[in-house]
This record gives sequence, structure tokens and C-alpha cells, in this order.
Amino acid sequence: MTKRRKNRQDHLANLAGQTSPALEVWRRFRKNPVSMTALVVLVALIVAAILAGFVFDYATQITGINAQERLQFPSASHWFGTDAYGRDVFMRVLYGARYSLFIGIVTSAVSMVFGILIGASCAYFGGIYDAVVMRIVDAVVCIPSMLLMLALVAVVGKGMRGIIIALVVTSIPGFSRIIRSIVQNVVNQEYIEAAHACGTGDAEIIWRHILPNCFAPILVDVLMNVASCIMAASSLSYLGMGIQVPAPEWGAMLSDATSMMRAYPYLAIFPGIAIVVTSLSFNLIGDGLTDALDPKNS
Amino acid sequence: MKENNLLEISGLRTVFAPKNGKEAALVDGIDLNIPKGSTVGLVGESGCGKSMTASSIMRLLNPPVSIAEGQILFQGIDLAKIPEKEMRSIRGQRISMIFQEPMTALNPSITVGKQVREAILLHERVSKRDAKERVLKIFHDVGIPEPELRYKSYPHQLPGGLRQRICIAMAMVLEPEFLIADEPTTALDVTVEAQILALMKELQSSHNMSILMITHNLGVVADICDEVNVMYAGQIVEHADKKELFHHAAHPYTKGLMKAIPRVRGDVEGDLFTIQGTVPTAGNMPAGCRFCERCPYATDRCRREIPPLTDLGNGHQVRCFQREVGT
Amino acid sequence: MLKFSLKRILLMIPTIFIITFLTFAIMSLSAGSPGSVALGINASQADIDAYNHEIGYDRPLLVRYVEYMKGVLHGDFGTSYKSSLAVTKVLLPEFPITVQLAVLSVFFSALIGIPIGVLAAVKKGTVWDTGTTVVTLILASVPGFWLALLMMLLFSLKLGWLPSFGIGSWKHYVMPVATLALPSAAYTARMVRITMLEALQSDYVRTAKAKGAGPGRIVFIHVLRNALMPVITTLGMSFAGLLGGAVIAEQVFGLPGIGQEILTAINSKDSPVVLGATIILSLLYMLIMLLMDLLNAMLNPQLRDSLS
Repeated sequence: MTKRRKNRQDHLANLAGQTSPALEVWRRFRKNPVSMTALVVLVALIVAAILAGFVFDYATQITGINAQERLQFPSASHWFGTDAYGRDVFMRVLYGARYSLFIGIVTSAVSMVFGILIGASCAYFGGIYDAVVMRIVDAVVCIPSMLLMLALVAVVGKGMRGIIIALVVTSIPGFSRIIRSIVQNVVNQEYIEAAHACGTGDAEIIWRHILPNCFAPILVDVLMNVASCIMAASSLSYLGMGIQVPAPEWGAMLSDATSMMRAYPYLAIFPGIAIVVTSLSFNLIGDGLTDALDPKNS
Repeated sequence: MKENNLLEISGLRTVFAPKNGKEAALVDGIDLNIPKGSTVGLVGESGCGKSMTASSIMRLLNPPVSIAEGQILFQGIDLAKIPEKEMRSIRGQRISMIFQEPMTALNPSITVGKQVREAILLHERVSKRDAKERVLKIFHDVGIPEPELRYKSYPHQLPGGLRQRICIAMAMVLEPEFLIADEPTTALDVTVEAQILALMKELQSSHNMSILMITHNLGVVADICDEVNVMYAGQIVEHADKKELFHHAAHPYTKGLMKAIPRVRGDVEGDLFTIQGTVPTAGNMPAGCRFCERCPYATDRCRREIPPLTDLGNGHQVRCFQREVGT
Repeated sequence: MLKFSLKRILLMIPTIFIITFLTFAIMSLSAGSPGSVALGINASQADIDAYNHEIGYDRPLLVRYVEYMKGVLHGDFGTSYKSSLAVTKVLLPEFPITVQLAVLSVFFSALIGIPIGVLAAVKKGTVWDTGTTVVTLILASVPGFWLALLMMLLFSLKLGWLPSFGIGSWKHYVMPVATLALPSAAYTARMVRITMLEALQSDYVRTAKAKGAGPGRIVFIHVLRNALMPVITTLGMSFAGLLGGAVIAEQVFGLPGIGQEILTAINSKDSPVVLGATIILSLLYMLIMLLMDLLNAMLNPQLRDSLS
């Protein structure tokens, strides 16, 4: 899940500290129909996820049992059909967006904070500190992330807490690495040297001069990470190591659907489409933002 | 085609024509002759179309850049029209080229010996061993020490001057009639530059080939060229033989270039002369003379009409209404 | 080359210690202790403590780690809490299946991804190029297990061409390998396209053209080798993802590999098995990266010189 990020790393790092002003970036981003569509889809998803919490009753509509309505194929009254307990799959899929978006956004934000602390301090202080910390980070990357996640779930326990801790720990090395190279690029620019020469303190330089210039490339990386976290979280739930049924998490729903797939294939289709649409939106927005940030594309 | 000309370019126009954009001429109707056995300079600032002219002759243009009009007659063959396959047999064998940056011009993952040998194997049916012998001989001729050892070197293992010698060896190994050198010494140290220029002069006289020397450095022109063409914004603005040009430069741009050379002797006082402004970009050309916006002598006529290339006698041509002005 | 290899191998040693220590430390935080797992839920705390004391589980973490590493050096990865078998014994029969899956997947992702990436770069701006971009982008957003479900739905349940469960003939491997290889091939194709485009614009290509080389020769002799060097590293790195993905593929298609074993071990809190499997697969991944680096050094003279 970190590999997609790696080829972007150099490119993003090069953009650090020399991107165009925010308004200019937004103007260029708006011109890209694909990423704009993705943005609209994502905003709609987020709104739907928030509303779903108010509109639907979790105990009856989302997880309740309704024997008369069970296993109905998609129709006008049940757009995505109903599952083995007679619950409306469309409502469940909508409600499921809450889990995926929450997990994706929270883990990415938390690991970004850790990544900034580790990466920025390594880039800024350098020396033995940098060498030791990066050695450890590189070592963690050598543990296949799915295995590390499973090991962490084994320790922390299944469920939301386990997923979030597993995803945060596996996301931190990638973030630390890319933020380190982004910050290194900014640190080497002349205005930082000028700030040093003026006697500005370390913390203030990092906070006021370096981080603002790294913001845009880091944002792109966070977006990409949200996509991979959403996919990884649903995989864990599918394996039975994450959110447990009857919660309408997409991976858990697919896990439930597998045994009935032959007779009721729609059960295995819609939650999957939801995962793809969500992570694709994040990826496309990230792609569009990368292009829009590049001053060469003006 | 004149008897003693090896190459005659007439009315060459090379354009940048993107699918949904405005066409812009990078080389705008130039005439250029290369006499047999001589070295012709093509001088100008960066972005004036020198390298595009060279790439047009070699047909190394990448879309959306292409030759729109004109003739490039090389020994009776119009290089602008012949099919790509025929052009390929001319490249490297009858016309060779060396480039500015010897660091990147060589493939980093193939030994330099093999890269030079490839030039032979592409054009002649000889055994690899015979080809290698010829490579070693040309290495010796271009002054590469320990040819056997260098044959097996990779580009990054050699210093810049040696790499440029490798490029020259690659260009010369099939004894072409015509060599295009695109800023061959710009990336090199001054001392190495002198050695490379000396080598080129020596090779030229021993092989009796013609050279088109593209440079922005009038010092190089003074050192190696017989005739000079000054190019500005896609057009040739002055043509003369070297002595005539250095003593009686007629175009204000040429004069500006000469004044901009730092001199050790003569008047050391005062600032180094610079020409104000920059070359107009293709697509934003002024209606009249292309130099008018930077020219101290420009009149209203200069801004309205494009001056023709007029003959001043002795083969000296200039594109300027004011050719008598200023000395 | 020898110097390069030695240096590269020496650099691996601290990494091995960091990986094993981290994994060991994480697993020792786990709720299950050997006593509680072996004696079952009805055992009293005193019995569990006595059991743990007897096998030395109550000693400090660092002591146990050193002990464990001594065993690892002799090929002993501890004993399963649940079955009381050596971890290596538990994992050995499963190991080949997982490795086969991962290796086949790397092979096919290179076999499919490289030609497609080359084609997209050479035919830049055509339908081929756009098609590749669209397909690779979508595949990058499809979770492996759902791709597996879709394939199973189509090829096993609808068309009945391929078996959906277990091992047996080569047919059993088609869908698991495709599950892993397709996203990886898409990623490889995207990478190859980028590196090819970069290489095609380089100065040495212009030099080769000026020599009179034709398009085929330029792509195959001059560009491909330089463009593929960064891809080799990417393929090696994708091996980590494929080992992880193998867990999923094994689960969906019911292959008795290490992944299945890990899931079972997590459910029964059998941490020595989880620990052993994680360490063994991480070491395998490091070995693959080593091989990829050596291959890269063989192809890239500049890299070879820089490290020796």
C-alpha cells in the first residue's frame, strides 16, 4: 500500500517550496474535469455519510432483522436489494461510508502528525539522530504491511481500535520518509538560510517557514494514504480482523456475502463498488492536485 | 546547386505546430550554404533557432516540431523530402553530429567502445572484431590515451573532455563528409575547449570535411570558422567570411555581440556592453525587423517592414536598412 | 561487484535486528501468554503463572529476546502455544504455497506490466496510452479481496471454468495469482510508462538517432535497459505487498498457506506462530530486495561504482 506513494515521492519533494499560490492551484485544479468530478463525488459521499447518522436508525434500519423482506433482488423499493436479515443494502452501504471515511481520514491525520514530527525533525537536525531514526523507519518498511497490521490486531484486539492502531503504525514510516525528503528540499532553499542568518530559532523556522511550504505536497500524500487506508481497513474487516458484523462496514458486508454469492451476487457487488468509488475519488483528487501544484502546468 | 557547395539550405522553415494551438516558426526561411572543406559558423543567442536548424538538417525533430517548407540539398539529395529510412542511412555515415553536453549524450549503461562501434555496425557489414579495431584506431586518432582500456569504460568513469572526444570519435569513425557541431565546447573547461577545437581543426584538414559550427561564443568562431552566419529570432541577419565580419560587422546585433565580448587588452574601463532586452519568442514576433525593439538605431520603417537580406559585396550580406549607420 | 554485494549484505544485519526486536516487542504486549493459551480458559491464574515461570516467560523482555534470537540463529522460532509443535514445523508445509503465490505474481506482473507500459510510452497520446492510464488508475483503487470475489463470481460460479477453492491442478492457482498480479501489473505498467517516457527524451537517444539507429533499436538496445532499472526496485518492493496480499488470496480461495495459518493463530492468540511467520516473511522480503539490488547493480554500472 505504500508503493504507489514511492514513485510520487521524488516528484512531490521537488515541488516542495516552489508551488504556486493556493488560488492559482485551485484555478488549475478546477479546469481538470476528472478530478473535479471526483471532488464532487467525494463531497456527496461525505454529506451522505454524515446525514446517514441522523436519518437512519442504527438498531432497526441498519442492523435490525426484518424476516419478511429478506434476500430481495434490487428493485425500486430496495435499490441495492436486501440481505439475509432483510436489511436494505443501499442504506447499509450509505451508512458504511461512515466507517470507511472515518477510519481513512482519522488514521491518515494521526499518522501525518507522527510523520511530520519524525520526518521534519530528521530532515532538520540530520546527523546521527537522522541516521538512527531512518534506519528504524527503513526496517519497519521491510515488514510487509499486511503482516504488521495483522500482528498489531493480534495484540490490540479486533475492532475499530485495532484497525486504527494497525493502520497508523503502518502508515507512519511512509509519511516520515516522504515528509523528510519534502522538508529536506525546503530546508536547502535559500530563504531558510536567510532566516537562520537573521537569528530565528529552530522551532520557529520549522513552524513558520518550513511547514507552510511543505503543506501542499503533504496534503497530496495524505489523500493518497486515505485511499490506501480505506482499502486496507476493508480488507482487514473482510478477513474478520476489523469491524465485526452486523456493523455495515463494507469489507464486513462482503465477508458476509461471500457464502451466498452464487444465488445472490448483488450482495457481493454494491459494497465493493462503494470501496472502489471512494478510494478512486481520493486517488483522482490527489492526482489532480499533484498536476495543479506543478508550476510547469500553468 | 553550386559546384563547390556541399550543402545548400534554401527557404527552410521549421515550425512548432501543436494540434490545438497557434503555429510558430522556430526557423523562419533561412538560406545557408556550406562550401566543401570549410567550417561555417552559426552564431546567436540561445533560443534564436541555431540548434533547430541543426536538428532540421539531421531530421531529428520531434512532433509537434517539423519542417514546413524549404530545401536542404546535400549532394543533390533533398534531406527535407527523403523518406526516414533513407535519412537513417545518411545519419552517422555521411552527416554526423556532436552535441553540447557530453555528460548526457552518451548512454550511461553501455561501454563507450560499444557505443562507438554501434555507429560502424549500423552502416557497414563488418565483423564485430574488425569494427572494434577501427574504434581503437579512431580513439587513438582523437587523442584518447590507452584506447584498449577506455574501450571498456562507461561514460561516468571518464572526465568531460574525454567524453567529448568519445563523441567526436563516434561522429568521425565513418569519415563523414559533413559534421554538425552543436556547441561542442560550451560545457567544457576553457583549457579543454582549446584542445577540442584544435582536434576538430586537425580532423577537418586531414579528412577534408565540412563543419557547421553552432556556437554563441565569438571566440570559438574566431578560432575555427571560415565563414559566419549570424542568426537572430529564426532568421539569418548577417553573413560574411570571418575576417570581413570581425572587421566590418554591419548589423547592429552583430556589433552588439562583438562589443559584449570581454577583452583583456584595449579599453578596460567602463562596464561590459550588454544588448538590452531578450530575443522575442516565436509567435510574438514584431511586424518589422525582429531586432527593432532592442536596436539603438531603429526607425519607424524598421518597425513596419522586414528588411531584406542585402548584398554588400564580397559575399557579405546583411538584413538591415541602416547598414551604414554607426561604426 | 563482490565488494558491492558484501557491503549490501552487511547493511542488512542491523535491519534484521531492528525488525526482529520490534516484532518481538509488539507480540510480547499481546494479551495471550503461553500459560493462558496452553492451559485453556478454565485454568487458575496461579497455574498460569507457574507455567509461565517454568518456561521463563516472566523474565525481562530483553533477556527473552536474546534467548529467542539465539534460537532463530539455529533455525528455532519457538514453540506454538496451541499445538506445542515447533513454529517451523507448523509453518513449513504452508511456506511453499505462499512463496509460490508471491513469486508467480511478481513474475506475471512483470510479464504483463512491462510490455504494456512500454507500449503506452511508445504510443504516447494514442488510445493505447489513455486506455492504460484509465485501467491502471482504476485497478489501483480496487481492493484485492473484492477483485478476487468478482473473478470467482464470473469464472467459477457463472462460467464454471476455474475451481474456486483449495489446491490441486494449476487451475487452482489462476485466480489467486491473478488477484495479486493484476493490480501489481497495473502499477508496474504505470511505472514503466513514466520511466520509458523519461528515457525516450534523453540526450543519448538523440545521439543514437544521430548515429542512424532506427526506432526498434533505440527502444530495445538504448532505452529499455535504462528505463527498467528503477522498475526492478519497484518490482522488488511490490513483493512485500504481494506477501501481504497472499494472506487475502489464501483466505478467499481457501489455499492452505502461511496467511491462513497467521489468521488461525491470531484467533487462538498463538503469538509465537504470528511472530515466526512475520519474521520469516520479512526476512524473505529482505532477501528479495537484496537480489533485486544485485540485479540492478549488474545492469547499472554507475550504481556498481558508487558503492564499491
